Amino acid sequence: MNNPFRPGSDWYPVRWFLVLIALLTMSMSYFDYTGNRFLGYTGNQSRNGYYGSHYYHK
Amino acid sequence: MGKETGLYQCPACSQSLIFQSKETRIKVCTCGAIANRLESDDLVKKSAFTIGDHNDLIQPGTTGTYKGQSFEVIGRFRLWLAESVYNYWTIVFAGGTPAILAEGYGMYAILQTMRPESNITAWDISRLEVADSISVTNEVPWYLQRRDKAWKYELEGEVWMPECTDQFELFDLYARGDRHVEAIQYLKDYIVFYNVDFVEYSSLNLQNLNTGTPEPKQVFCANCNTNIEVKTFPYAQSCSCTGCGTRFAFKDAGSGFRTLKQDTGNDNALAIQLGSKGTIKGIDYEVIGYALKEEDNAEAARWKEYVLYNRAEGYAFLSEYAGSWLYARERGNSPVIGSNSPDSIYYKGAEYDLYNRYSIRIVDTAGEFPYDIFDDERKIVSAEFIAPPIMWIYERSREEGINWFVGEHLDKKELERQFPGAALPAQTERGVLDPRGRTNLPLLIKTTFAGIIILTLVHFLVGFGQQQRTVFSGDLQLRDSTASSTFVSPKFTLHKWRSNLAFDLTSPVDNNWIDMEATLVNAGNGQEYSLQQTVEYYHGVDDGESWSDGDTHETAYLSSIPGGDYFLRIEASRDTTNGAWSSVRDLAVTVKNDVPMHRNLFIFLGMLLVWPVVAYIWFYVNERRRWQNSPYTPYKTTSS
Repeated sequence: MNNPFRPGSDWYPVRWFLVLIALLTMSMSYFDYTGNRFLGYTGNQSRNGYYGSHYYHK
Repeated sequence: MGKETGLYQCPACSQSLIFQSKETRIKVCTCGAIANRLESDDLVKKSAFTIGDHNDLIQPGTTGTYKGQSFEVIGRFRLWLAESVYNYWTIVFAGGTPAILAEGYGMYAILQTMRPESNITAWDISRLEVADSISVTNEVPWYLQRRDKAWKYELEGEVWMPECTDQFELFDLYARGDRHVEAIQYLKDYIVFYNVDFVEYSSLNLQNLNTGTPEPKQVFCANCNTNIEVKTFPYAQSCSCTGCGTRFAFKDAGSGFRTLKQDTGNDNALAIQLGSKGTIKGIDYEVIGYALKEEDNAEAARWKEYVLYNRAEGYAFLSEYAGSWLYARERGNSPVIGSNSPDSIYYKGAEYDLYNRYSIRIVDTAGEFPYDIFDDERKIVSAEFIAPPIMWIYERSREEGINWFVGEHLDKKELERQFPGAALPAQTERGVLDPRGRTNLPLLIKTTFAGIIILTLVHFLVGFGQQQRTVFSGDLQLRDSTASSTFVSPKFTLHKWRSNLAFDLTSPVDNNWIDMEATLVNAGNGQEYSLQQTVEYYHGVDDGESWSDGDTHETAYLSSIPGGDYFLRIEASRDTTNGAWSSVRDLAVTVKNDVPMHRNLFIFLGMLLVWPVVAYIWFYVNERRRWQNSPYTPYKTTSS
């Protein structure tokens, strides 16, 4: 049986895209399961700058 | 003597002649006479040419298999067409049924007689032009793709062939879906239809082949007194003197190679020398010819073509333009066209777009060539249709019809490995079939949607298993005179190995704010996790337009908190700029553990989409480059 990912096949150019989908799925499920907020505020930090918006509206 | 036993006597020398098949009609005796078995079962002498050379790989006695049935080759008739030579080997299957194994130029086909569904006469066929349609079977249209005239036939062994005139015509009718019929007009009013099934050489499992070394044809170049060896005669029908560039073509019904004019240029700038040997796509080839070709138009684009030969797999062509390489072979199973100048063709579910259409001039040559590449009178028009990395090329001559070649991109490094002595030029332009940047867009779109669905499903499946448990809920009230107050929650337990806490804050803020600073304290080890979130809502009217900003409800998260016992210390602060008495004093806080965070899904979907977007841009840039030399480019730029 022919390897569907052989050079020249339709699947060849998207082979790394399939790997990326698998990696993203695994990473996202890990972040979701552990309650981790990806690329976001994760605690132990202070949020700054809220006064700015108050003064803006004054 | 007779059909029952197969035993006869040669009408010339009286030797015993044994016919292996009841269906065959001709047998060449060892004395050289040709015996013709009549309907009356009598043998009479027949006048025809016999084959003197035995350079072919297949020979009488060769065995093979076709669709699981074994067969034996018992003889052949060889047809000399205008510029080519084909063998029609008589084969007999184990049950005694005869058929024809047609062979030449690396193409193999099994021919078995058939009867068209409609009554087609010789006149019906002979009036057809190339690409005209005719009804052979009723369900699909059949198109005339080639018509050839056999100016000579030769015989060897025992031959399945009806009575025929010395010269006769052949018509190739093709229907889409690799369906082929060949009609041979043996007599003026007698035409035989054959179903043609093109097969690969390897599928025939041929045994008992002729392993003798073929004898080359010697062609003398009187211009520079040298002998040219044509290794693949009679299939090579033209050659060129490497020394002086004098051209020769096999012409005029057997009068031999005729001297033509000399090459217009004779620099013989071969990147791969004649006689070089290498393997391409698993086939061992020898380079036997070279031609520098030029488009017969204002562009006059030039490219180099090398003729490759393998005794079993026939001829192939290596074409080089601007350092890009293309490997092409003639194929019987091919697209079928029903018009003279299609803009696209379809074959096996794929669409191939017209890339170029041109006639050629031959500038420089060396070695030998199948067909007669010097014949300008044929007015050959070539057209290239591409769906990278595959190209279909047709060469159409006005009189004979269409030959199809399939080409594919060949990697330069692979070619250098196979021909180590070759001095391959550097690539200066993106090759027509270069697969770099090529993507099957529908497949990319389908894969992207599949990825989106998978990520979404996994996200919601994980969310479905999350606890979403409220660990604290309280309405925090600030005293009238204070700007801030601190509250401490009862102890609670986070059971999961790691999980998050979602803080839902609600406050009736109205042109002011209230702020929460929460500290989650691990009761066991004192580890603290802090969080700050403001609830603010402002609104008003500026220049007659109302505006609002913020909300009375906010959500904040503490992420990935280890399991354990915890309590919360919450400090609420409020906006007292207009006086503490008039300021907001209520803050409702609900803390939930192990809640889904849909933001993760959107971020990961965004990351997923980067690939198809970049792939499409890369595809577009490369396709523009690929089509830049084509007059049929779909990437037209508007000229100012």
